Amino acid sequence: MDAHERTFRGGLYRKYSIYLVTAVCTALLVAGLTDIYFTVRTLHAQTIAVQEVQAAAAGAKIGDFMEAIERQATWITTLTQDHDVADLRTEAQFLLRRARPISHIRLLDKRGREQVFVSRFELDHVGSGQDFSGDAAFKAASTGRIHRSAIHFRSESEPYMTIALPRNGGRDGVALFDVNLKPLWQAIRPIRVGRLGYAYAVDRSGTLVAHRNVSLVLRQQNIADRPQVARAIAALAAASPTAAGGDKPSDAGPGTGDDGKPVLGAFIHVPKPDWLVFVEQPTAEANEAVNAAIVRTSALMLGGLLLALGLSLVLAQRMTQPIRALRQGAVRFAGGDLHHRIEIRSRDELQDVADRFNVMADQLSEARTTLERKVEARTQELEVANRAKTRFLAAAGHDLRQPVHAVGLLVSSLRLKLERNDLRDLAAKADLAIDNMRELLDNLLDMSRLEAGTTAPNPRYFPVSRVLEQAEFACAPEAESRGLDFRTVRSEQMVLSDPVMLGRIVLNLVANALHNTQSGKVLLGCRRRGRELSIEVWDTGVGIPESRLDDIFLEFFKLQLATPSSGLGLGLYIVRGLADQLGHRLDVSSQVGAGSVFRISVPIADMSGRADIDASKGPPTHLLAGRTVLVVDDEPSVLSAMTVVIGGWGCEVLAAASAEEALELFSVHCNAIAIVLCDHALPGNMKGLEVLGRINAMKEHAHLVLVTADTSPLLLQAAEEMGYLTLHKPVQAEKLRTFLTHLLAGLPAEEASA
Amino acid sequence: MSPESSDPIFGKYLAWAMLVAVALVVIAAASMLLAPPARSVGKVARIGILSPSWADNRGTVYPQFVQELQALGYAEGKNASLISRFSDGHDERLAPLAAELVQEKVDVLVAMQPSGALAAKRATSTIPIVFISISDPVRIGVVANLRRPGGNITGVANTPADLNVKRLEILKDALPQLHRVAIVARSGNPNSQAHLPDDLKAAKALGLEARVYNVAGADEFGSSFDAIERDGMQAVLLVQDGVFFFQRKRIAELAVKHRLPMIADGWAYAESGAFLSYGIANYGTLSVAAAAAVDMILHGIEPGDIPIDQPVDLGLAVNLGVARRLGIPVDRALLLRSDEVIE
Repeated sequence: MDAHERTFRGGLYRKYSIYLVTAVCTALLVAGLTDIYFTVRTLHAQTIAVQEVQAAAAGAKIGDFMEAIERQATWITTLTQDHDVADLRTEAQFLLRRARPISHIRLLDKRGREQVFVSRFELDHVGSGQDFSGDAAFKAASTGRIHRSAIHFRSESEPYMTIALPRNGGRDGVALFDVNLKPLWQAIRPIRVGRLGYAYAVDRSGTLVAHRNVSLVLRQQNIADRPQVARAIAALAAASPTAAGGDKPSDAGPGTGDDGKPVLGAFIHVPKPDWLVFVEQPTAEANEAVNAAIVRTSALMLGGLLLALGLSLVLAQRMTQPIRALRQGAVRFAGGDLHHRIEIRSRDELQDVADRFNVMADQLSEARTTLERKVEARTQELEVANRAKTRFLAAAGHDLRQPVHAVGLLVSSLRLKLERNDLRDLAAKADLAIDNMRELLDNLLDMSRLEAGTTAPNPRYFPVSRVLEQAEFACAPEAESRGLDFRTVRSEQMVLSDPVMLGRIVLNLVANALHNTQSGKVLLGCRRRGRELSIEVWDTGVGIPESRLDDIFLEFFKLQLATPSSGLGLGLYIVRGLADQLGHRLDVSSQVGAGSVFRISVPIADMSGRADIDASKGPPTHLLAGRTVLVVDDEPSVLSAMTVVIGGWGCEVLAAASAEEALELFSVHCNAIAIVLCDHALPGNMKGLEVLGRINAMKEHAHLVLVTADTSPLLLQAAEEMGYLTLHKPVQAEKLRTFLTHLLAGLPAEEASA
Repeated sequence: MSPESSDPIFGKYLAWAMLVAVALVVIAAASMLLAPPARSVGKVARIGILSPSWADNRGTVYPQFVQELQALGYAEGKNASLISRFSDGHDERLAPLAAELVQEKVDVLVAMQPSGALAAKRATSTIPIVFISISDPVRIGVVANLRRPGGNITGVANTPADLNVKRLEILKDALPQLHRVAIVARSGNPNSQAHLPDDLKAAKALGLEARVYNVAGADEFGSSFDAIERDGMQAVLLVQDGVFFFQRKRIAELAVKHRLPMIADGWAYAESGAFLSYGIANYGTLSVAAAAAVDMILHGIEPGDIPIDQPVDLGLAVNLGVARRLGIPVDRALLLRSDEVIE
């Protein structure tokens, strides 16, 4: 889990943060930009609107002015030319009073001759008759149209316009009015827009007629080249020339100011003096408010973004925290920490998940505890059962061994003593039966030894013929009695293995072959395969179905045959166990109805001059003669049997039935006693092990052998530790003899123990 | 068991809260700094005013002028600073006062009356000067010409001096029997003196016999009018003059006392007791024009490019009360053409 933890990237926080920040920032940006866009548009529109209002106001003032002048002047135009000139003069003077901007009035008759001239500044003329018929204004107005002159200047700098009104449609001549236009300037020049905005007026040709800078007007500067002016003049030309009133202010469009810089403005056409009035403001100044608004909006947006960023990160943190807690919980839980509980207090679905998780953890924890307890109980039960089994086996083995041991010995000695053939046959059969029993008990012993783990292999170089002969010797009688053709093929090969364990394997394989063959042959032989020697046992038995080839090596396994066979089913189990310990390969091939072959592969000995004992020779049996052996066993039959058999070999046998007796005997004959064969299960508190211990303390160079039917691993281990040899009941007489001989010959004890 | 430990979260909250606070402060500061500047940001215009009047009696023009400046957006204390100097009637003080204003580094110097204007002209040739109430600025040498004065002086003219022509005509219209008319002028007024020949010519054109009576100062009014009556003059034309203006009441009374119908300059005269007056109907227009000129100069236009403004709004005032006292019938025509009728 650790490695997984390390590679786990996590990214929920980052993901959430990015999503939230993106969402909020996008929203803010969109809002901000839209705001700016519309603000700019609105501000510009407002600026233009204000300018339009001012232009309209100026236009209205101008229009009203002209309107008033002409209206007031109308009365006098109704007076015919035949009117008394003095009266005309009075009327004119009256008009001067009413229309203040009028400075001069000239009344011409039909022929253009001056009837009356009235002035604010100069002397009046009455009936001068001066000829003005060539005057353009007279000519225009005498057709009945109102004529308005262009602006001209009197006294160097006074702006004037001459308005010619027809008298009675021109029938009675023309009235000329000189009108001072300074009031119009008053309507235009003081107009202010912001700090730098101003107003001005031009006539149709684009010449300035009113401007804050009077000198420009006096110079008659023409500004028709400015884009806004040109556009306005063009629009005017395009529009209907008879548009009377109703001229609305309009956006002048982008234009240029006096200083050449861009301006925003509005304009209006005032029909009466036929002027275009412009109200403008430098775009830079108009944009100041816009720029300030943009900066403000941007600052707000930035602040908003920062705020959003902060809040998003916090929010993402809050969102991922419980999820991470959940994940952490799952990780630890999977890692085995069932005590971890997830704490989330968010009062929402996540808390619910955490709570359910915790409940699950509780249940699992409980279940596990229960399971563990059950397992433990079970294990204990099994252990108890196992121990019981072992005890049972030990007990059974021990109980069985005693009589079998005794019987074996007795029958052996009986065979020697019988002379009648039929009796010898009976005894031989009995011996066989006893061998069988011994074999069974041996297998039990081996099994418990295997379980105890006391059999550590002791590899040596030895001739393979030793194990072959052992097996042959042990099994030939049975084969013969069952009418099976049992052959052994000799071999001179030397192998590297543990002779005792290998001997057991081979013996068991042959026995197994014999057991499972009703009729036919059993062949024991060797085949060299490279560096290994394959010891093979062939039989023509019932064969093993392929599906059971593994099963046959199981404890207490027996194939279901037509006829029940003897044995406990341990033979192959032991073979397998020993083979595993030795490290030898075990193979089996079989064909149902034809037979089977078992192979055990043993490494061939490398003959690099290792001297070995020619086991076929065996030690001379005369070694036994005259030697003293102390036998200790509480079972009288066993004791007497042992005494007889061993005595039959020429040994001096000292028999003890209890521990105390044994010690007493030993202390007396300690010098003479060469071997001590002591049964473990002695009456009283002192058991065989302890007896041997005491004897050992007394004298060290006696061979101390523990004889017992007990197969408990503990006992065997203890004996081994103390350095005692072990003999298991029932012991075959021949084996016992060989054992003792080897002991006395000084041969390695392993070879002797069985 | 690892509950959400609150301390790191709190720490995070604090950090973010601080960040938010900083952001808000930044926004606020930015907003304030970048608010559209007040309209009146920019330098303060320094306007100096030189007047021969009395500080406690500033006449009519001065207050109107200040008002007109305000109308154009110049507010004392906000974007303009008005520095005024009054000579209290003592012409000889005008020169040092003008020099003072020059020292004050005013952006434009507004000078009232010919005396003020001449003093200002002598005090500076760089600081723009705007004069108010001068009848013939060219004649008295304040400016070279009316259309394009050049130099650093421009201004608002009072009344064309040759209105005397019109005044004589009006007098004749009002008094059909008029043959002999006295023209009273101040000897110390170069303007008046310069126009006298034209005035006499005009009188002759009207068929009137005119005689000039020069008066040096107020103390000579009495003797002058005595002489006028003694000489059998039938009416008086009072040539406009500042001193006369201030003494108008006394002069009007003298005219009435000597049973002389008098025509003078502005309506103030008729109000003060003159039979007729023909002149500027509304002195406010002078201030309007003067303020406009100051505005132009403050916007960078050269004073020399600004033409002298001449008033055109002239009106006739009739004092009916005086007419009755003098036994003059006021006919309809006269009434019709009168802009102001005073009882």
